[in-house]
Amino acid sequence: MILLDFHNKIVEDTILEKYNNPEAIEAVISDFDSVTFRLSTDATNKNIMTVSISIKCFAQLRAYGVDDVLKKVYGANLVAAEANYDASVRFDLAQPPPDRQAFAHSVALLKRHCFSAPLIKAFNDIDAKKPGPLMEIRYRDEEAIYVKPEADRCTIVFSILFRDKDDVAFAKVFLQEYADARRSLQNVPAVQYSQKEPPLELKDVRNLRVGENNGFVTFVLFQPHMAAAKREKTIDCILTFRNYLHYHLKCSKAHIHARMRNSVRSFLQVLNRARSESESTVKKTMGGKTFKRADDPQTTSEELVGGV
Amino acid sequence: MSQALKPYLNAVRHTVDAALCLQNFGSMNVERHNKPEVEARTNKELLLNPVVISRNAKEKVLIEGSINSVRVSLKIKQIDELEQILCRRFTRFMTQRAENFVILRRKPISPDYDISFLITNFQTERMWKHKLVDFIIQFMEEIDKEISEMKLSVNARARITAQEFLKQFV
Repeated sequence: MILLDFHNKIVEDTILEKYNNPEAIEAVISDFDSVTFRLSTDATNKNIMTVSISIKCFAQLRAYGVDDVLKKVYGANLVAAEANYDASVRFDLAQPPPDRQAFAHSVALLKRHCFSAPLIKAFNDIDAKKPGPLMEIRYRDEEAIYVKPEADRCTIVFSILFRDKDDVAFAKVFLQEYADARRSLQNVPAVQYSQKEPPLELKDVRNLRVGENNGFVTFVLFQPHMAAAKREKTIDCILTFRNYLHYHLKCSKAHIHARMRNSVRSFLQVLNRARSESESTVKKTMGGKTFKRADDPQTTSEELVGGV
Repeated sequence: MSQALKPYLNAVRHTVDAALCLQNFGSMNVERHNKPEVEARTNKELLLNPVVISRNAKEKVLIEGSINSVRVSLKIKQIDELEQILCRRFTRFMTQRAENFVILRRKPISPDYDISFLITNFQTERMWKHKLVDFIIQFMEEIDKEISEMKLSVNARARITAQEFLKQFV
């Protein structure tokens, strides 16, 4: 599969299964970007299920209005967050909503809804025609997403860390293709990649991580991408971009390793053809003694030297 | 094989053929020891003149001979960073399996070269000489082909994933 899912499949499947046979459950699931989900049923009433999420940069997201976004999506199901978690959704398994599949799917999108808060704010700013300030979301330890709404476009910059320096070379090839895709496809966002130099939009940012293994990818979204019909899809794609990129880098490395293993094996076969299989016919006397003549052409230098 | 490569590979083939005339020769310095003289390099009279066959500055073959062993070192063509990475991984894959490959040396001679073979008289006695030479020549052709195919596959994958991703926005 080329494209990654936007929702958390484990959460969705667990909820649907619990609608069919409710049982007590307490599980902690991890997702991309060090996000953890906790699914649990109430100790007293095992029909009440709570799904909580813990995100490292929730404080930043709160500044961008994540609470309002969650309230709009989950309505009455949103409750006060559990201890050590940032947001919780609670619902009753005994009274499923009319469309269970859609509801389970929307709970599984909890992470995506949290992270979409700054993007929604940016798009609203653009609709209202007032450009806003640069927003930073430090969603991983060493990496961040920067969102800058401008007059008629939205610029999003990813700062990505590559732990393996070979990844940097592969990423350059991949991101060059993204930048070139504009030539064949119309109406796509503009993509630019710079390896060490941070792009101009980030020149005012403090604590910017720059280095050999850091790259910056800039997306420019235009009006058609932010229109109401396409807005949700655009947000989905932008949020999973970094994981999508790394996933395909790893796939391509795995494919290359498999190829190399095959060709090394075929080299070995060719080399083995070069061996002359000497059938050592051991001659025996009637009494059972075996011997090998010294001038036997099959006696190699090794045996003469008496070595290895 | 491509026409441009033919004279280069022919020259290498004939030189390796000539160099692979090996006979058993015990060590003159240590009693009862038998060392590959091209590695030990203790006695000048046992070593032949090294020959470098180069196609261009980036691609060459060094053949060092001696009385009981031959060392063949290759420098593989790598144009850009991605090819360097692929070449380095490929040679590492091979050198880690050097025990199975018998004639392979675990490290190239100098950072100038990418991979080295060491062939001793014991190995030429066990193997057909013309097939050994065939193997070396085939290796040189195949590795260039493999590296450029892998680079193409990375580029193709990059293009497909980029298009799939960006198509979602349209």
